[in-house]
Amino acid sequence: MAKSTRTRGQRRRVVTPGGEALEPTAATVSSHRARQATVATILEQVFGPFADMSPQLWERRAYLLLVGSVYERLATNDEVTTDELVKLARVLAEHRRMKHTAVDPVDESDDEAAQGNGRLPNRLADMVRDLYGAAAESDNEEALKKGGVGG
Amino acid sequence: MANGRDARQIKHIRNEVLVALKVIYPAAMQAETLLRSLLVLFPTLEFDYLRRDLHYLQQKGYLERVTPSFEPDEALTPWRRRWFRLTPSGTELADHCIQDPALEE
Repeated sequence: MAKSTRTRGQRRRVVTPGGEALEPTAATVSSHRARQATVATILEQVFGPFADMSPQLWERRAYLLLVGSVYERLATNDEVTTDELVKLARVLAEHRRMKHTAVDPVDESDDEAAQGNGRLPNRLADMVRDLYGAAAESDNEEALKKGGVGG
Repeated sequence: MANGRDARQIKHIRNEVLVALKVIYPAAMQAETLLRSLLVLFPTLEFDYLRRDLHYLQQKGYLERVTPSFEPDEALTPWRRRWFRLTPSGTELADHCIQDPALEE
């Protein structure tokens, strides 16, 4: 029985019916590079110019943008389909889950959110206030309890 | 051939890494994201190969690792989650301002 002389790496290579390894064509490479440049332009326009940043900042800015977008749609009573709302909620939940699994120390507000008591974590409420100058729902509840709204 | 890859493919992948990081310079990208992007061009690329290429480019001084403040011990961070950005030399190479025969296709 003949032994295969191929290495492990070679065995995993995907080949075309003609036996050639898959290599991108010049057109594919060019189109991929153009796409990357476009993505970079979009990111720059949305998040501002790329800076010599710390990676965690990107995540936070993306999170702020997402929270802002959710808040805007809800606050302006814009039509949000259930499907859209579910997707947005999933993204936010995934983000929070990611933060819990990260080595980043977890603060009490995160624990509160994880327990599912329905309140926005304090930091989130602060962020919404900073962004829009408006109080998030949880803050209004607090204020109502203290009799501080409209009174 | 090196681990089932020929020199042309190795150079091609390394160059695409530089191109990918060039468009976001001076920001950084995670190795996992890089891999996903490169899979568009190289569907059979395995992370282990990319890890070697990243290590090589780092040793050549074209890439540098960016360590977020929340990483307590950078040596323990899995490769896929490590962030990389171009160094000034890497940018010059990606912009074709300098040449490296080892990366010329």
